Amino acid sequence: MGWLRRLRSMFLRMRHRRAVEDDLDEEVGSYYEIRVERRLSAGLTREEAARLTRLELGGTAQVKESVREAWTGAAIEGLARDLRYACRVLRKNPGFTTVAILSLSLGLGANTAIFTLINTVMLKSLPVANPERLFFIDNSGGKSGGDSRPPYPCYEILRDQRT
Amino acid sequence: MAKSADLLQGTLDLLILRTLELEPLHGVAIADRIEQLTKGVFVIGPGSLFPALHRLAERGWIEGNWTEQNGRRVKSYALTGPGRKQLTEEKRNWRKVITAVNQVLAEEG
Repeated sequence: MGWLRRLRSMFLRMRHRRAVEDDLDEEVGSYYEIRVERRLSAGLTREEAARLTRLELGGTAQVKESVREAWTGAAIEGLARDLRYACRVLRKNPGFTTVAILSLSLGLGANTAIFTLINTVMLKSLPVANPERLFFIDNSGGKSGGDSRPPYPCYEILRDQRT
Repeated sequence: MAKSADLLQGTLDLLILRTLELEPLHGVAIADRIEQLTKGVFVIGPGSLFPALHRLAERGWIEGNWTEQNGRRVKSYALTGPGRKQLTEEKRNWRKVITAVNQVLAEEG
């Protein structure tokens, strides 16, 4: 499973950033050391050897930066490859793809519908200026029952008492 | 480095994989081996060598391990199973390219 391994190495690199950087540091460093030592055994002074090596090979910082770029490049490339693979598999199994898309869209649609309903009925306040000052007035203890509301004069009395 | 031939894209990967086919090697040794085998036509600087090594390792074709060599810690790279398969594949591709280009050149001559 290529993608699993890639995901793991990407994850490890993020978690152990310091260790990975040290590792790269040591790797590139030892490369330069070996090159310098060869010059030393050819009879140059350490400074001269180090200078010539840097001149010939360019700085270590640049080398390390290009390695980091290679990591990023590999990660993006891997992602693109996975996406292409996913598309190909989906195209090859139209039945599965249809069922998957249908169940996803039904699920999403149902959830959206239910949320819209709950949002309007329970969560959003009424579209008036001061919804917290609204009151609901109803009869209680009356014999009539049913759909009766207090008559308008009752409402007027209540309103005038409030203010 | 100016005297070395320009590397065709992907050629460096092939050269590295082939070099590691025989035995695990560290960075300097890989560059040396390629330079020797190509009689100095390909001189691989660290600026191209290390990104290539890490790219190949990222794909799982080679694997780097710290080892001791002459009292120095070096990171040695070894070919993996998938790397071996990839090498076979790239060798085949390379021969195809060579044959095709040669045919075009023969046409010209």
